Amino acid sequence: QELARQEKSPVPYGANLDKLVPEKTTSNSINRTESINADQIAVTVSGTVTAPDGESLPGVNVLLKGTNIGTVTNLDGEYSLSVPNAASIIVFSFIGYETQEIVVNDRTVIDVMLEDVGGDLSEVVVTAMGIKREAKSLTYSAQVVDGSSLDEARETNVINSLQGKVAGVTITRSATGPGGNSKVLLRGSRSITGNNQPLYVIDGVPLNNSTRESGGGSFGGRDGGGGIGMINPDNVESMTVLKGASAAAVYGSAGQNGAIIITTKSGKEGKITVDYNGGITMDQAFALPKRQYEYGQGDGGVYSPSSEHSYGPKAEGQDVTLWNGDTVPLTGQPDNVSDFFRTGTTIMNSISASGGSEKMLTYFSYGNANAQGVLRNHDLTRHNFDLKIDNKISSKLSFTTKLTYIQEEVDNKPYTGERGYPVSSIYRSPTSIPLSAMQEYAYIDEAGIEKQNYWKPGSSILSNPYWNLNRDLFNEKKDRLIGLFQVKYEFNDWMNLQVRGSLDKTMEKTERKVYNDTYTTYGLGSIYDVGDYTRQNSNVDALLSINKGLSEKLDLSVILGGAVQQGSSSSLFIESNGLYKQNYFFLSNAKAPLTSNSFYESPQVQSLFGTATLSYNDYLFLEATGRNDWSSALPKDNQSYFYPSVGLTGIVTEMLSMPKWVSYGKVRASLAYSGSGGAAYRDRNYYSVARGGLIGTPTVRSLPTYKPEMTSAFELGAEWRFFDARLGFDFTYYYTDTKNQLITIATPAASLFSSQYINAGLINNNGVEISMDIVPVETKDFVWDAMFNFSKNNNKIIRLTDEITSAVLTDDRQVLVLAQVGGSYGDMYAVGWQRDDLGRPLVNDSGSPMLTGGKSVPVGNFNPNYNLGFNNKISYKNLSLGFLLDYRNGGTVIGGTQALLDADGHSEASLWGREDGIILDAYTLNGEKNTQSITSQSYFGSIGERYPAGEFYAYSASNLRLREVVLSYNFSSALVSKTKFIEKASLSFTGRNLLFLYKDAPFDPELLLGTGNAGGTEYNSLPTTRSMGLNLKLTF
Amino acid sequence: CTENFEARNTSPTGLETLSPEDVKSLFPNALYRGWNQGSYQTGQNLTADTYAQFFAGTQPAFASHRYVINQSWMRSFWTGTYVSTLPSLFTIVNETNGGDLPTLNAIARIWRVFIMNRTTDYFGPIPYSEIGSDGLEIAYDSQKDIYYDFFKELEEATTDLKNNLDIVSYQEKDLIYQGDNEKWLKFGNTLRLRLALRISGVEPEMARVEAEAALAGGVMENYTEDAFMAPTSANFNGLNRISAWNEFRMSANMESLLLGYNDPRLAIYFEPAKADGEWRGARSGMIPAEQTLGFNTYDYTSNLSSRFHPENQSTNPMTVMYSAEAYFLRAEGALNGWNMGGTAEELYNKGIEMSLRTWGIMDDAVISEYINGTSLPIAPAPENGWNTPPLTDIPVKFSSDLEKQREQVGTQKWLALFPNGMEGWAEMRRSGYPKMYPLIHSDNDDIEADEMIRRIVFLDLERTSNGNAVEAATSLLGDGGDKVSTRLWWDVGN
Repeated sequence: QELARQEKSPVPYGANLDKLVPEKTTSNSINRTESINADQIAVTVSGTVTAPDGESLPGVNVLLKGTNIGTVTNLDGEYSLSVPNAASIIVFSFIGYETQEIVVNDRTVIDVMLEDVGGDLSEVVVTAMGIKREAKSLTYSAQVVDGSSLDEARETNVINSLQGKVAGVTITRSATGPGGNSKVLLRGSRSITGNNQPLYVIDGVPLNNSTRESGGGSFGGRDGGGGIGMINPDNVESMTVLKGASAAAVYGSAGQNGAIIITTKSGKEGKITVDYNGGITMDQAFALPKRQYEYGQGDGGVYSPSSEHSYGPKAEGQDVTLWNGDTVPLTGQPDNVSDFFRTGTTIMNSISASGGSEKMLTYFSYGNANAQGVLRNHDLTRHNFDLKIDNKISSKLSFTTKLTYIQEEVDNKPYTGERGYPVSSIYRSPTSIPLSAMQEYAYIDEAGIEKQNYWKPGSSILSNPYWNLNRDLFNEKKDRLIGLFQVKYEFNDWMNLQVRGSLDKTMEKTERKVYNDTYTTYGLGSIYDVGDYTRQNSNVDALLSINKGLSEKLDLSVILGGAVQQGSSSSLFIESNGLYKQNYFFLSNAKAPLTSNSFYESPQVQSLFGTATLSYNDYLFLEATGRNDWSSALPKDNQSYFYPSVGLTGIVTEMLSMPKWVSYGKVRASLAYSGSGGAAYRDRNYYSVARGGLIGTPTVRSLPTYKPEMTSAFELGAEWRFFDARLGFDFTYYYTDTKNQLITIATPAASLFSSQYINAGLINNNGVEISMDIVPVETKDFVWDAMFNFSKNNNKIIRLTDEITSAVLTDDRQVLVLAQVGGSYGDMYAVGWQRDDLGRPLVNDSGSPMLTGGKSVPVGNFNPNYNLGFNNKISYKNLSLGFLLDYRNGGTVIGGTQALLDADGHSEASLWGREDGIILDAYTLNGEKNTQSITSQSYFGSIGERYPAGEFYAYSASNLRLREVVLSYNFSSALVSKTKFIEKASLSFTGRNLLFLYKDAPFDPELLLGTGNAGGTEYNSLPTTRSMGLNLKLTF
Repeated sequence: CTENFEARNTSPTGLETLSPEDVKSLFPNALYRGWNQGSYQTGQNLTADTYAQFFAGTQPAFASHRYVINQSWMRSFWTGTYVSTLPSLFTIVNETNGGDLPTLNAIARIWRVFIMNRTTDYFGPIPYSEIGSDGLEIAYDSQKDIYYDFFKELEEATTDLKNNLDIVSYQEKDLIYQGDNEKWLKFGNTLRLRLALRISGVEPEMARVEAEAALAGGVMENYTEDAFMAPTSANFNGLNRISAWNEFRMSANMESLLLGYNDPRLAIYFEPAKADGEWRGARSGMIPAEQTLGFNTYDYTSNLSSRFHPENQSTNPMTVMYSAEAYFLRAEGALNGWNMGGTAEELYNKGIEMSLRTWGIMDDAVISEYINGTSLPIAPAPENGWNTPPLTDIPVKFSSDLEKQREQVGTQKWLALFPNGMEGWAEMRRSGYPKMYPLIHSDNDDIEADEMIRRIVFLDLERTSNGNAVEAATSLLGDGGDKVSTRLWWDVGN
């Protein structure tokens, strides 16, 4: 496992039958296959020498060290050499490969695999369309993450495991726990109102990553989970992150934000191997809001059993009567919030079997995940079945068939935001009410009806948190089928044709049950909703590959292809308008059920593309691509658009003679364009037909002159390795311009539209990504691998249109997020403290802060300044320790929860001025120093609450966290072999998100309300969790 | 192979053109969304209804009842008008202009005036003459110009309607009158009468002419002509929907009048406090520490009565306009010396009678007893913690003093308008009646607690999307500028 040297780790060829790469072996590259008792006598040693790709190497010099006795390997790479004794050393050398010296010891058979010089020459990267390329020939950055670094400290959503491991990737998860989606950005945001997330491709199948619901704003939505999150993490052989437009050029529109190419495991030739991977993880809520326990329930210093605040009297154990009639001592209850959450558990098991012959390779796996969230009613169950068959019908014709079936069921995934009632109700419960009193969440009234037991019955926003857990239920079930069929025909040894068809289809059902006397049913009593959703993507493509040597030094490789892509979705949603018989959840019991359905088809995109790579002497590569798309979304005259790319790369160390300590050096440059044909139905205004046949008018004005969006990306890079590749750098600079964006901008409402589409904008992203890997220590038994990832993205809005200089991204809870010319994507403005000409804060006559009338105070930008990852792996013999530190610098986040808890008097911060009042350090309008005292409740009531003055609650999102720790032990083969049937075994202790070494915000600033383009606001988030677990991997 | 692209890029669920039947199907949304004004709670209840002091705020998280303008709430009001309601109305009017569907055209124009009137009476200058323009900047019109056009629109629409009474209109798509053109004609004329009185301070002569023309055209005369909108399971009564949230309670003003007058509508509008069965109102403008104490809490104050409770949200009809209002408008016109077809006293008494009948009080003896009542308003609940005197000193029985008569007409109209706070607040601003209790606190630095809030400030939303036009509109407001204390064009009275 080469976690710290991802660029160098070999990526197996997957379905490519003729070039299987063997598993990388231990550091001295020797397979011990036989041993005998050794005396100090002459012996004959024989064996086979192979290249890293498994091909045998003929003509290798095999020499007894210190002599000129030797031989060369034959055509099959075999040799035989007589040596004087067990202490003899054999030297294997061959041009282009690292020379190896091996002590004979007691062996008569020594098989050797020679490493490429620099360790990079034969590295293969899976790029767009599943096309495999030698890494050294790439003209752009493509960072590979080996699957083995993802399957120990596992996440139910595999994409979260990438955090901190790849430069230029920002992952923020929605605050919903298991089953939740994550927002992934590669090199920042480009699109103002469109999609900014990358394309996911699994074995050549573009994934449908759309979701039922994306979490929404501060009022809250129920994150529908994303397509990528359902994949079995154990099945991932590797992930290649193609960050730039050039990398994704071949995917056209869908890949304009970059692509993450996932290769899953395939069958391997030879005997059947069975792998088992099992783990259990415990999740614990932490970084909880800091509450105060000195003052009890009430207001203005007076105890009130029905108050939702903790501005009551000092809690000194005096007797008070709770709302339910019980008399209890008034004391702070510091464990309420932590006890409300449970320790979540995640159990993940997977078993896979692989094997086959030269003709047919089969890989089957079954995985399941059982996760219990920290909220006591939140559970996830998932089953993943994968079958992949590679079939070689003849020497020319081969088939690959792949079928994935996934079933996922999630109970009670919480709403984000204000509607996350269990979370908001426990956070915002008075700090003196015993949890045991809340736990009796229901009672039966005189009429025999179940009622909610809450201290302020009928409250408009809050309720008994245990009622929310038990009486407001939501269930979602997904069935998903991903299928791929691929035919490949080899015309001859330099030309082949591959035709592929794929489908990704998800069927989802949702059911919501809300019991009578839940306060948020708008007086309807109990509510029952059901939903039925289908989403699918289909893709057909054909690739003709030509690979021909033009002369001794010149090789040409050409790929020509065509593709058709299309997606669609439909939904049917039925909501009851109350139930006839309360709490009896069945559609025939529904009062006046309201039905809505929808159907959406994404534009069909037809494409023709070609790429040609000319290589000179295998160290200079020139690549050019061209693609033409026809998108059905565009008006007739604009449907076709062409975009090219060109790139040049050279392996400097092979072109020039370099000092020996320079192992490998590569420079690259590329310029690429990518286009996007946008979304359907935007070129005309449509009236809608709504429920009951009513006609509605369009709210977004269409754009009849709709043009495709174009991104140009210039990228420069260098990859260098020194000292036998123990020190390496990978440096990338990029400069990306995105033009002609289809964005929606607010129009004056009097236009009779809320917004309109325009083709506008020039958004620039530029930045650097640096990865550095270093092996500070490398001895036979002890290896320390370390890797740094650094990325910084600068975003600048250069132009919107001639008339428009500012577009609203979101306007939520008095925080305005803008894209404005001269600024950068995600600049935030909030209500703040009014200041005089000298910049001094102002108070009114009563001593309360004067707030700005509008959202006029700049509070920052929600994007990070830079990200830094520091990944380590330290191995000693069979024991290894990996840990990942993840640092984010900058970005602003508004703390909505803190604003609520302050205004309610629950927060530690709200202790300020409880006894003596607060005299704000501010000035009156007349320029006099403030002398008026206000109460704590009045102060926090004016700046906090549900619509806070954001300037007071703006925090830096900077944080340094221990993201991942993996301590694993590989059982020695000697030990394992005693079991007869186990071949390999390893046990690991894993920890994720263990602790913050530094943070400014009073919560995890990297949890999101939703996964849309907005950001920067926290509101009633589910707490972040710390995970610790054990993982066992077995190979049979 | 792009032959099928046209079909693929044509929405399977949208309509590009409208048939006459489709045009009718635009009307229910225009009616309901217009009435609901984006969100009834934030657009009307927490603003106009509160400023009219029908209700007092009891939700500590809200500050609008302390004169704080919540921009997000007002944004939903604004888009409720311009994006949810007017597009349907403009489409109907454009599709039927000069065509053979004159009744559809006329009724849509009447309703358009109704909606635009509520909007301009919130803000003052608003975009009006350039509505629907595709420019990136849409100018605001002065309120005077807008009102002048209202009268022109109403005159034309009522004339068209009168000339085509036999041509069918919206039938079952008409949630108010189910296609009864004659009732719409009376509605249009009553609206014209309402607007005439609104400008009676600033343009007295024009007001008289318009009011007399409206009366000649035929205004609402009987409670059977009241305009109520029929709710459905999807178009619920917005007031019912929010009444169980305990966020507002009967105001002290209501308590002083309804209890003082032994008003038979008391138990129709409100219910006794849950905790102790007493009728009790709350003062407006309390801060959270006051709202959550003792007799100010929602447990000890009167909520809306059961007809306004959530379980009746799909059946309780929504108030649009009452025939009682027409009588009170005429009574005030008569006090102004206009020819209103009766004396002020006759019309005042008739207005009271009609309001009681609207709420099902049909017993002539009860009606007569109320009209002749001499009891005075009471001092509301002293246990609330404030020494609140009676709101005023007038009885129901018509006075002989002209200024008292004006106060009586204004006060009884206010009681009859319930729960239409939009009109209630507008008329309190114009006439100064009924009197109001000062707020306990104003949290808006532009206005004192004992002053009436005069308007809603312009929207941040507009400043970002239509900034230059907002700047220009500010000058239309005169010296007061864009503040809640600045009076609208017609607001020249007390």
